[in-house]
Amino acid sequence: MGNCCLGGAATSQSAIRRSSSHRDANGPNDAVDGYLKSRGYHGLFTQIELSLSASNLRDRDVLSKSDPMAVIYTKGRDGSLQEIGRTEVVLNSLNPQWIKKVIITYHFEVVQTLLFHVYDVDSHFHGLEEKMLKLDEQQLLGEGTCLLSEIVTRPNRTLPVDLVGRVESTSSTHPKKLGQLTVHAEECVVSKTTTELRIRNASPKVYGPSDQSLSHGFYHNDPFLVISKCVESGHAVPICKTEVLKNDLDPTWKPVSISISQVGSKETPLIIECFNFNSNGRHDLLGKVQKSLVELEKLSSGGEGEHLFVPVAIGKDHQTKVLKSRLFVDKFSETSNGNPRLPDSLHYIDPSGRPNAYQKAILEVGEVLQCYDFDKKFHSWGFGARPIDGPVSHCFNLNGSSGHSEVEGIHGIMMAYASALFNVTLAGPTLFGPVIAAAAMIASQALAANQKKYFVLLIITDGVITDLQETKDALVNASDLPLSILIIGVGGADFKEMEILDADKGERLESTTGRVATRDIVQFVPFRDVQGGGEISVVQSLLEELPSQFLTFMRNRDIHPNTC
Amino acid sequence: MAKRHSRDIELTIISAESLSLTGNRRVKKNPFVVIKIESNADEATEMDTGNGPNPTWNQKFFMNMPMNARFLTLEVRCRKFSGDHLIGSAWVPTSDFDGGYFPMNYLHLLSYRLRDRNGERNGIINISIKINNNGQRISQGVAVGVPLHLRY
Repeated sequence: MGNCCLGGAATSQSAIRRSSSHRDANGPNDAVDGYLKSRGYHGLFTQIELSLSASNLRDRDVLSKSDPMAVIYTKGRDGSLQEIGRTEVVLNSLNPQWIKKVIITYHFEVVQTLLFHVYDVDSHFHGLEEKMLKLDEQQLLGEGTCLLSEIVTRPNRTLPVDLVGRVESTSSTHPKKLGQLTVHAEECVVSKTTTELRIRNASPKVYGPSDQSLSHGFYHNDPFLVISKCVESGHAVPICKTEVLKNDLDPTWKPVSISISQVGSKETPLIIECFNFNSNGRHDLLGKVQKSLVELEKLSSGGEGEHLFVPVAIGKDHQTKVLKSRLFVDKFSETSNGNPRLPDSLHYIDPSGRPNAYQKAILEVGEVLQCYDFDKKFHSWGFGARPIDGPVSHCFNLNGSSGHSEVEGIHGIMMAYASALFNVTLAGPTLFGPVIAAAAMIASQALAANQKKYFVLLIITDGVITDLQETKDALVNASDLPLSILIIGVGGADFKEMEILDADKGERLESTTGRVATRDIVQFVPFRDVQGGGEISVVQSLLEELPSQFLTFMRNRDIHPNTC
Repeated sequence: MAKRHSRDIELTIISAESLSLTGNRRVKKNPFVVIKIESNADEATEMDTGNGPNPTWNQKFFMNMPMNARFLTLEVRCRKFSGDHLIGSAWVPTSDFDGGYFPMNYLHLLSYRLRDRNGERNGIINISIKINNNGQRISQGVAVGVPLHLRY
């Protein structure tokens, strides 16, 4: 075997800045990380530290003031509550500022509902540790709820939440105000550190499986690397992957970025595997090596032995700062969809109110993204349909207006969608080009107005595109703009061409003029998996690449979040 | 608004990827880029020595482009003992970075497919372009390029 060699890690951002109590708090989270990663949530989350304070709490003690303590829960999709932490008890205060922070994992692509309970802890419990307190023996001062994404999208990361009484205890429709809770979120320092690695294989020798090279007669070496993290159960969970270098015997891959939050800690062993790319998906393992980031850093700085190392600068991650995103929603319809009034159509509107595939897709993606849009105004267009009086249009305003395409909120999109369905006749062919061009136009208009915005175009389609090259041209032109495109394929059509647009599997998109896409801006996911109620929702895999696409854009232009 | 007769551009030649010579031979070393406005040779980068087929230059040039110029040509060349060889070239239409709704000082990050004399694809070049306001240089950067005639 030749040497699969690693060139350098260079990282020096001090991660351990806090006292040991902070490390303790992080301890269990490594296990949580591991668990999450084993479920496929790798790389998309960051640790957020929540600090709480409250004002104007109710006074429940007779002789002194309340002794409040806050408990934080996350609410699951099914409404189940899970406690994630408690603060300490502050004595005799109606305006407490709790010191103890609660750490929660923030997922960009999931709606995370938080529930806060504030209790008055009776004085005879005061010697006890907070964890030991039985909550049903304490007096509830009030409860409040918010979304985690609401907090992190606030300019100062601080959100006031009104405390109300328990729902069942209030008979009136107006819940009484019981004070206000202020939640402040801060990203944990440790997860901001990013390491950039440049790896090269120093051995120019081809070492494919000998039997295969014989049968092929001509053996190509198309190597790529997969970097994985060992999780507690023993198996490896991939974190990142390099590009495939075609027929390259002496490969140097492009640098890969690994953030500490992805691997857990600098000491976590990483498995670096070198594969030979095989188009049938069964890639041959050429060799692997296990090293932690610390060891890689040593290798790179030492530069000893037969290895060749190239240290590359480190970067600081600003994962959670979304300047401003805007959601575009499009829908697509085709003759094959049939009549929306018949139940076999994908556009069938169920009188009982059950959403069809399009409505489901709009609801699920919209739910996650709407928090990042401050004015909640969405442009929405339809394509592949014939308005009552005219030829087939490939970009018309869903709301039926001729001038503006904006609608209010997710609800507005749903209304526009439903009304449009009855006002147009669905028709082919399927052209993406005009819609992408319309979105690119809006993105560049925002640039011209010097607005710091990032745009997201959501395309929902059930047909295979007919204008592949025009779509590619439009995408290449848009790759320089603050725009990402999400495509959801509904129905059972063959979506092979969509995979081509989603460049992470193959080569970069190229336009007819010879221009190449600057970065990958497309993510495609077929929606049919979710209809069975899959574990990881399609929306999550759809939004998976969005944070990194956003970051690539900002980093390339050296745009940093405003500090406020 | 005053009509412009020329535009000042700030062009950075960032890097190239997977450069190859005819017959799938990989470029070993010493590639550099010659920048031409229309077809007139104007500026050139230094040679990249250590990065094989994926050279990085990161060199910035301040150039003046007549308004009627429709494209820039980028030629990746390679210095050998027998002289300069053309590896591949790319055309950059000015419409990709000027016009439309783009604001004046927007930093365009662009990539182009390189093709050799026979039209075969052989790599990708990455550049960034910014148009500066009439004569005013927004960036404090220094032009590090050497005019071509001084180098040869």
